[in-house]
Amino acid sequence: MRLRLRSSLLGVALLAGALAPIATAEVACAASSAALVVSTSSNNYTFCVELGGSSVNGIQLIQRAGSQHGLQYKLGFGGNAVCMLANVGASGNDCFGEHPHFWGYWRDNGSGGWNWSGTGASNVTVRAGDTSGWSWGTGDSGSSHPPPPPTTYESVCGATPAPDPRPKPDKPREGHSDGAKPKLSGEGGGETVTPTPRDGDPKVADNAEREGPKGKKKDGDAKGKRKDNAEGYEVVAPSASPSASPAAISNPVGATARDPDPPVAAFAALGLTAVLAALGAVLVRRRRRLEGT
Amino acid sequence: MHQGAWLLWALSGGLVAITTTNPFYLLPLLAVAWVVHAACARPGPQARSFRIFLIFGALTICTRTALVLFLPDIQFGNVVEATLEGLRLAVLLTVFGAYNTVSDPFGVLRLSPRRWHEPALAASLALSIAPRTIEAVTTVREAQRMRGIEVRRFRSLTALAVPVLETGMEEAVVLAESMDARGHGRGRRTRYRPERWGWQATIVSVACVLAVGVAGSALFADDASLAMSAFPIVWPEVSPVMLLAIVALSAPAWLPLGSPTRKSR
Amino acid sequence: MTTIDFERVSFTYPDSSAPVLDEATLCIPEGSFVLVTGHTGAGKSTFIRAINGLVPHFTGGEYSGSVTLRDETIRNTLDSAPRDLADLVAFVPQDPSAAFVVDRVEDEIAYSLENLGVDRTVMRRRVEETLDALNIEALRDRSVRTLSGGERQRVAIAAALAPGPRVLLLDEPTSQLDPQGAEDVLAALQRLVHDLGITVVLAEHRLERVAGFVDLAVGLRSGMPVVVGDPARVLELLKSGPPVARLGRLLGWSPPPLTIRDARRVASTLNLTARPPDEGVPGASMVEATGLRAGYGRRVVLNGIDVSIAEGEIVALMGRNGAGKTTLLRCLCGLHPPESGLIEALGSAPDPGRNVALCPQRPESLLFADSVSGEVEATLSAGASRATVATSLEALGIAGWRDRHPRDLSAGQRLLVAIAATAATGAPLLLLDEPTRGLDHESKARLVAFLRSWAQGGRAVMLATHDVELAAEVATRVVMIAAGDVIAQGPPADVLGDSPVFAPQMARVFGPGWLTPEQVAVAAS
Repeated sequence: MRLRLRSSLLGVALLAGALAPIATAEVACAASSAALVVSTSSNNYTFCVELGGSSVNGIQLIQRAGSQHGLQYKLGFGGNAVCMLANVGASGNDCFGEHPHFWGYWRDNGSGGWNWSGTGASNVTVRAGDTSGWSWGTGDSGSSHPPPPPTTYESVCGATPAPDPRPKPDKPREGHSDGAKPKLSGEGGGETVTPTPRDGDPKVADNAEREGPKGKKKDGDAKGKRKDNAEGYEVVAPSASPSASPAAISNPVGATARDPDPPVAAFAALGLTAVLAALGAVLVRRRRRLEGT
Repeated sequence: MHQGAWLLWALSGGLVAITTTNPFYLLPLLAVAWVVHAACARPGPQARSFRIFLIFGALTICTRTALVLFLPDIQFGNVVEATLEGLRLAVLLTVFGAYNTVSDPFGVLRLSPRRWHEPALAASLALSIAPRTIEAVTTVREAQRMRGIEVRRFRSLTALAVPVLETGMEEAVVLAESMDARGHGRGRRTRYRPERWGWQATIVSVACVLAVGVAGSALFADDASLAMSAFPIVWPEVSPVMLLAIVALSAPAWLPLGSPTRKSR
Repeated sequence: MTTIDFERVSFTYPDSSAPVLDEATLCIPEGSFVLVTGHTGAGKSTFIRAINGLVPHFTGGEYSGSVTLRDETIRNTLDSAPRDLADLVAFVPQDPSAAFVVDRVEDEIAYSLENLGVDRTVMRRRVEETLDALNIEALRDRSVRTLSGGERQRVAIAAALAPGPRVLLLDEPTSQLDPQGAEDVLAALQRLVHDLGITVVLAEHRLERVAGFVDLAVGLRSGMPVVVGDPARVLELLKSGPPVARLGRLLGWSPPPLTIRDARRVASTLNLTARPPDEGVPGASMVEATGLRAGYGRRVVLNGIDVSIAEGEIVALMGRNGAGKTTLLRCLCGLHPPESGLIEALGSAPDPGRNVALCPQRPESLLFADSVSGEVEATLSAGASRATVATSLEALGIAGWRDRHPRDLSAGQRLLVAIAATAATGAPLLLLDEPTRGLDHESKARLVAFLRSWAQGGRAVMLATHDVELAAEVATRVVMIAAGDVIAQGPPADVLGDSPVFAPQMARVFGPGWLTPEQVAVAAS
C-alpha cells in the first residue's frame, strides 16, 4: 500500500513537471508569411498571409487569406478546387460552371514572373516567402491563360522574412529533391531562410512540388491519392474518406486562428512518455526483486 | 480490482489507440500500458507474458513498414505513414498485453453470462495457458541446452517449439479434464466470494469513460491532432486535453488496488 | 455408500489399435481403499478415468460395457457426463498445479461448490470443514502458485473433497512428494476412508508407500484380464510389490508380507549373517563445489554448502521438497550462477552439454523428434560426442524402441529416452532431477542397470530423488540437504539407516545397514 502511495506522489510530481512547459511556453513564431495575388478581369488584389510557422497548401493559403484579410472565396469538388474568389467565379459546387472561364493557379518563378502550376493547389506546398497567384480567365495552359500582373514577394509583404533566431541543425534539405526547389524569393538577397520548426525538424518531403508527368503519375497511385485530401494533412482515422473532407474544411479556420505550437506540446508528450517509462521500469525491477525471479 | 473494471480499461485503451496515429499520443499511451503493467501485474509467470506482446508489437511495426516498401513509387511519407499505422497496432497489442498481465482469466469467466460460457471458457483457458507456455519456453531452452542443443539458430527452433507447444497442449488437456470433472458448466452457478466493486474500480471506470469521451469527440470533430501528416511531414498538433485523457488511463497504477493473495510463507 | 460396478468394460483410445481395457468386470465395494497398479501403459489412468466418465466422454475412443455407481441413486457413466457426476465422484490429477483454476487456495476449494450451485452459507461451512480435514487452514490466503509440492497435493485433494463426494479418484498422488509429504497425504486419505466411509481409488507405483494402507487392489496387465482382490495376492500375480514383498518372494514366504509389521513378524525367524561391508574406494575427484550460496532474488536456497563428486560415484541427493536439490543441480551444471562459491567440474567451470549434463524433471521438455533414435541423433549432431545411437540406446536397454515415436511411449519409458538423449552428450557427469515420476518397476530396473554401468569408466552420476528404495539400491553415497545446508553425507547404509523418514524398508525391518531385499536374501542363505 505504501509502495503505491509513494509511487502516486512521485508520479504526480513528475507529471506536473512534464506538463509545465505547456503552461509557460511563449508562442514565439518566426515572422513567416507568403504572398497571394488574386487577379480578376477587372481588379487585382494582393494579400500578405501569415503562415505562423507551418507550411500550408495552396487552398489553405486562400483560407487563411480569408480569415486574416477577409478575402471572399468558395471551394468546390470536396474542397480541392477554387470556384469563386473575390466574388468572381462559379457560384455552384461545380467550379467549371462558368466554363470556359475558371480560376487558374500560378506560382512565382523567382524573378517576379509566373509559372503555371501543373499540380492542383491542394497538392502544392506554400512556404514563407512564396508568392502564389490566381487569375480569372480562359485558356487551359500557361501559354493561353492570362497570368496575374508580375508581382514580387517584397512588394506585397515588405522586407524578406527575418531569419529564425534559434540555431538550426544542418540539414541538406534541398539536396534530395533535385529540380524541385522551393521557390524562395531570390532578390532582396541575403539570408533567405525557410522557416522551419525548431530543433530536430523532420525532413520535408518535397514531393508535392514535383511537377510534370511524375507528379501526375503520383496522383494515380494508391498512396498518392491521399494527397488529394482537402488539406494535404492525412486524416488517417477510420473515417478517412473524401466525405470527411467538407467537414474538415471548416476546421482549419478555427485552427489557424488558434495556431498552436506543436513542438512544445509534442515535447511534453515525449517527456510524459519518458517519465512513465522510467517509473514502470522502477516498479518492474522492484517486483522482480521481491519475487526473486 | 474488479475484473469488469479491468475489461473496461482494456477496451478504453484499445479504443483510444485506434483513434489516432499521432506518435505523440501513441507513445504516452504505450508508456501508460507499461506503467499499469508494472504496477498491477499479478505475481508469477503471468507478468512475464508482457514481454511477448512488446516483441509482437515491434514485429508488427517492422512488418507494416516493410510491406510499404513493395510499392512502385515509394516516398518517405509512405514509409512514415506505414510506420505510424504499425505503431498504432503495436500500442493496441501492448494495451492488451497489459490487460493480460493484470487480469484473472477465471475471474472474467465468472462474470460471463451462461449463454457465453463456452467461448468465455475457451478465452480464459487461452489466457491462462499463455503465461504457462512462456514459462515452458525457459524450461525447454534450458533442457535442450543441457544436451548441447543451443536453441538460437533458426534450425533448432523445432527443438524449442515442439516441446513447448506439446507441453502447453498437455497442460491444457489436464486443466480442461479437471474442470470437467469438477462440474464445470453444469448448471446454475453460485459465487463463493462475490467480487466487490470498490471505489478504485469506480475511479478507473470514470477515467476510462472520460478518456474514451475525449478521444471520441476528437474523432467526430475530425481533430487534426489525431493524425500526423506524412505528406509533408510536419510536427502534428498535440492537444493537452487528449494527453490528459491518456494519462487518466494510467489511473490503476496510482491507486492502491490491494494484493489479491498473500505471497509469503 | 457407493459401490462401483464394472461390467465388461472395454475401451480403445482413438488412433490406437489395441484396447487398453478388455472386458474388465469387477465390483468395488463401498468404503474401500483401492490400489490400482500395473506397469505404465497398462491402463491405470484409463481405469481411474472410467469411473467418473472422463473415459469416454472426455477422451473419445471406442467404449463398450458400463460402469455403474450405485448410491442412493443409480448412475451410469455412459448416461451421465463427468460434470453430472461431480457431486458423487471427485478426481485429483497427477499434476495438480496444471489443474488449478484460480489463484487463491480458498477459492480453489470453493470452485466445485460454485459449479454445483451450492448455497453460499453451505459453501462457507464446507470450505472450513475441508480446510480442517486436511489441516491446511494456514494456507487459505496463499496463492496456489507459491505452494510446495505437498501443499499443492493437499489443496487439490481438499478441492476435490469439498462437495462431499462418495468416491475419490487419485492419479499417482505421491509421485512428487517427499516421504513425509507422502505419508501425510496417505494418512489423510486413510482417515477419509475410515471416518467418512469414502471410497478412495488410487493409482500408484510407489508400492512401498501405499501397500500397507489399502484393502483392495486392482492389477492391470496389458493384454491380460484384470485381477482384483486382496493386495498381497494381486501383487504377487503381478510379480511386483514393495521391497518386503520382493524379499518374501525371494525367500519363499507365502503370502509375501506387504507391510513392515508383517515383515517383522516373519523376520524374527531369520538368521542373518553380518551386514555386507560398504564397497568401493572413490576415484579421482570430478566435481568440487565449495561455499555455494545461491538463491532466487532475496530468497536464499543454498547456504554455503560444499559438495564433491568423485569418479565412479552414484550420489543420491535427498531432502525435503524445497530443500534446494534442484537448485544445487542447476548450479552444478552451470544453469544457475551461484552468488558466491566456486564450482570446478573436471578442472574448469561447468559446461552444460560438454562436461556436465542435466536431465530435467519432465522428459517432455526435451523430446521433439519423431523417433527415439532421432532424439539421440539430435544430441549427437549438436555436440562432439563419440557415442553412437546404438550404444546410447543399448545402455538403457531400449534399443528395441528405436523407431517408436517418443510421445507414444508411457511416462516412464519417455524418461528413459530422455536420459538416453542426455547421456549421449558424452558428458562424464550426469545429473538427474527426480527421475522417478511414472517410473514403474521395469523401467526402474533398466535405470538402475544403466546407472551402474555409467558410473564405471571415469564417469559419475548425481540424482536428486525422493525414492528411498531407489537410493538404497543404487547409490554409493547419499547427500542429505535441508534448509540450504548439507546435514548428512555418507554411504547409504549409514545415512538412510536410522532416519525415521528416509529409511528403506529393509532397514526398518532388519535394522540400520540393510538396504535391499537382495542383500538380505543373500545374507539369509
